[in-house]
Amino acid sequence: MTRFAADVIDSVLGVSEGSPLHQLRARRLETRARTQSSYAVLFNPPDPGGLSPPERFAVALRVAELHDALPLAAHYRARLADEAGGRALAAAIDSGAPSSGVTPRVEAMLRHADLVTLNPSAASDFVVEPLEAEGLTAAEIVTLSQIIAFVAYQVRVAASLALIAETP
Amino acid sequence: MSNFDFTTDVLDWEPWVTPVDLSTATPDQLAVLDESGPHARTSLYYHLLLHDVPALREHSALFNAIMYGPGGLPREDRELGATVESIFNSCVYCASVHARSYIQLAKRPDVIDRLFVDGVGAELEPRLRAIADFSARLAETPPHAGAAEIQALRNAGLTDSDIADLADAVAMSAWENRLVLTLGEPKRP
Repeated sequence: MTRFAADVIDSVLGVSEGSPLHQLRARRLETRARTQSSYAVLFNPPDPGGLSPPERFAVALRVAELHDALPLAAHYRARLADEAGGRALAAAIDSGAPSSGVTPRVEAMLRHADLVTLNPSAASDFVVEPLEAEGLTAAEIVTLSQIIAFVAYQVRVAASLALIAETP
Repeated sequence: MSNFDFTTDVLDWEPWVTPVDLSTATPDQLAVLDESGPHARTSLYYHLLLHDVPALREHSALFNAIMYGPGGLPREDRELGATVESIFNSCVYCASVHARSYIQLAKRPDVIDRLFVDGVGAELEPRLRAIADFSARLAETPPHAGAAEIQALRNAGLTDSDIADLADAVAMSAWENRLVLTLGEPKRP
């Protein structure tokens, strides 16, 4: 699907062919390609099932917002809005409180995203219980964790590239 | 939550979620383990991540490209950035892995001793201090690395390409820390 082929980091940073950031990213083609394919398999998995597309984009939107990563948040908000029921879900997440206007299952995922993003070392063995109580399987918990952690990576890569380009 | 201090000892890791049973693993799952690294077949961390094979395949390839890719920033500096990021997040398991790699490559156990005892702000020579400062500020949520940290790295002789390599290592560590800290816990073997 073409909407998962365009490089997300280039797109949110406005990187154009031949620009300094394009050249900087070209120093590590494998890293650039695998960053994008990580995004693709997490948000457009080859074997659909597990977390739904709106759930995946909702969690990513929340994580990007917690990082104040506005362009990436805009990207995930737009992707979420393309999904059935996505606009209402995006509005609920933008309002800040995960409990308002979302299902208990999504609320549990968003609360987990908050902990993993902001205070991962506070996690202990009961941290997955609210997810299991909402029926998430082990595989879904792993995918959820990969999405949250991937966005933490993606935010930092994009922020660093922007910072390098902006610092004279 | 970790119940012991930073260490360079080899640690085990136990998941809080049931991992994939290797006796039932598909050939593709076993192939991904072998792509991930030499210890993946015996690591419960990798057995757990096998629940999402495509995600693990991309994650491992990316990890290996960032931490082991040839040229650019010396590997020891990438390991130092990953160590600092892991100390910042109190990821004892991650810090042990990256600190051992750093010592092996740089032959500088004194640097790790200081970081483990005094934290990410420990006194270090200017080049290492610049690497640690950038890594710790990028580890924050939201990240707070800024022009001052970039300038310090350039003053220490890093090119923009080197800085981007360091940023990738720190960012990858931010990913890895979150999986390691929130899906299980370190144990003494």
